[in-house]
Amino acid sequence: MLMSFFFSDRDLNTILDLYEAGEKFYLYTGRGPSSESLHLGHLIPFMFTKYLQDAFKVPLVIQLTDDEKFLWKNLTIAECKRLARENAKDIIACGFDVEGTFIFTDLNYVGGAFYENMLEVAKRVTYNNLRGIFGITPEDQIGKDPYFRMTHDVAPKIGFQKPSLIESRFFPALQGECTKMSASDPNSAIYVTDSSKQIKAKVNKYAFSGGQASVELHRKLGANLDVDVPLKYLNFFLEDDDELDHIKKEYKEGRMLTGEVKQRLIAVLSELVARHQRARAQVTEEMVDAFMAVRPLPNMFG
Amino acid sequence: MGYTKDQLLARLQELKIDFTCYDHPVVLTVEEQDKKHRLYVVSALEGTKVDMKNQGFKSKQSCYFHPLTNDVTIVLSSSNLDKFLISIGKQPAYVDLEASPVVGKDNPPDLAHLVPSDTPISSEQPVQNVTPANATHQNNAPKETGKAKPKVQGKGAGNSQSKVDKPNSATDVEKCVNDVFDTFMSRFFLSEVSKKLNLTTEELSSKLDLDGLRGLVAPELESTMMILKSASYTAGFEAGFETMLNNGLKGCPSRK
Repeated sequence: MLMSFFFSDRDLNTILDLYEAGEKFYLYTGRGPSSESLHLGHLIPFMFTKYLQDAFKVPLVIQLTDDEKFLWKNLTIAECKRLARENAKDIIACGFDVEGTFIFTDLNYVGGAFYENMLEVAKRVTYNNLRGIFGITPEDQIGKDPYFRMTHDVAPKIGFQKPSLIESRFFPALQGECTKMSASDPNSAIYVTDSSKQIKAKVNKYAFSGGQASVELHRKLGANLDVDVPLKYLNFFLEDDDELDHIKKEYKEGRMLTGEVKQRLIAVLSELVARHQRARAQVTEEMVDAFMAVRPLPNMFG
Repeated sequence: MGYTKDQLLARLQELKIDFTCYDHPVVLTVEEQDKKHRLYVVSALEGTKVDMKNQGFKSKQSCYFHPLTNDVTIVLSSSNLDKFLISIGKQPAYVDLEASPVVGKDNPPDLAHLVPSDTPISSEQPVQNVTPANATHQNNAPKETGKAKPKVQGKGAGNSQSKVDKPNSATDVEKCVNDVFDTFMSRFFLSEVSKKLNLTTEELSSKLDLDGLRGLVAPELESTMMILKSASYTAGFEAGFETMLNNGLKGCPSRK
């Protein structure tokens, strides 16, 4: 389903070896809650994290950096807090296990022992380190990887195991590999609030096809799987590996047409999005409070 | 009641199981053993099925075990091992450790059906838990894209769904999804529909791809159940919070 998609990892084998030796680990992921409209590209890392939580039966910590968004975006503190909670609802709807998942927002949680850890890390990072890790000026693009490299280097100095990292490449926007999903272009992505009608329209109209210009040409040459967006999406979202392999084969050899591939994708995405919406509708403010409560998790290792 | 090493060795002799016995200083780690020989340290809760996870094991003349103590090692052939296991009412199962099946929510651990559903009867806590250590460091990571389904050569537990005994399995959504699907499928759907179609349940189930059906319906079921679990947890959390707030410890019943 998803392995071909994920880009790279650091020290994943280390953690897996430790796990096999009986050591415990936990998962960490997060989001900068800058907007309410989440698209599938936002959900994918969370879907993958849920897969990991289920497979390994380990606890998960999710950080929502509402403070960061306040500093970098034109938003009030109240709005940042609200967005964080709204995003938390979509995250919960992905199906994380409440017995093993702790969600926190910086504005709510930073302080106490957590802040002390932050200080311990900060003290061990010099200005030169920062320049090396993040680039010469603060305006340079800051992704997540620099933070991990920093933690990776500092962790042993404060007596902790180095974190391992799995990094996902940007999921292609509907329009193709070189484009990026953007909140400002609703046609670039499938949103979690889209209806199946909207999904159908977007995929049919905007999804970049690797098929040939005419049916005759397509039957003769087959599709270019490297650029075909619907197939890339199916690669991740279609759970049945056998069916996926079949589609790839038929499409590549020209027996299956673009329309059919798109139709299958529309069905898969519609079901996924509908399921998400149903779950999302059931998430209450009290449920968010429960996930965010600083509470014991006696069953976090399943 | 727990057994001693001497009782175990005496029992082996009673069963006319040949073995050789070595006394040695306590060896603590598999790694220590492994540098010298390909040794497998197997420790089992008394009464638990021992799962010999290695095809290579099956034909070996010399298998090494600690007989309830790690300052003695006994060596016996795998056929003698089988003899012993059967004598205590346990079915040996040989599986291919080299394969790395993808384990996920739709692919429950393939060996799970071999795990007994009942708790061990012994009241004494044994010293070690069931953890088959293996010398071939199997990379059980999701990173493997192998669809390998290892062939289990033992007499398996038949078609019954895994009943992995865990203390908190009531909140295990994956297990619940499987239980619901199996109950619905085997108890109701297969029996009722086969009656209507004048087939036996076996004939009908052979026509249906049950695993495929499970795969189709599992994501939906799982999502619904996870939300139910979260909602129930939330209600309990609220109730607990309010109880403490309003009534303190007096709000909770006393167990004495």
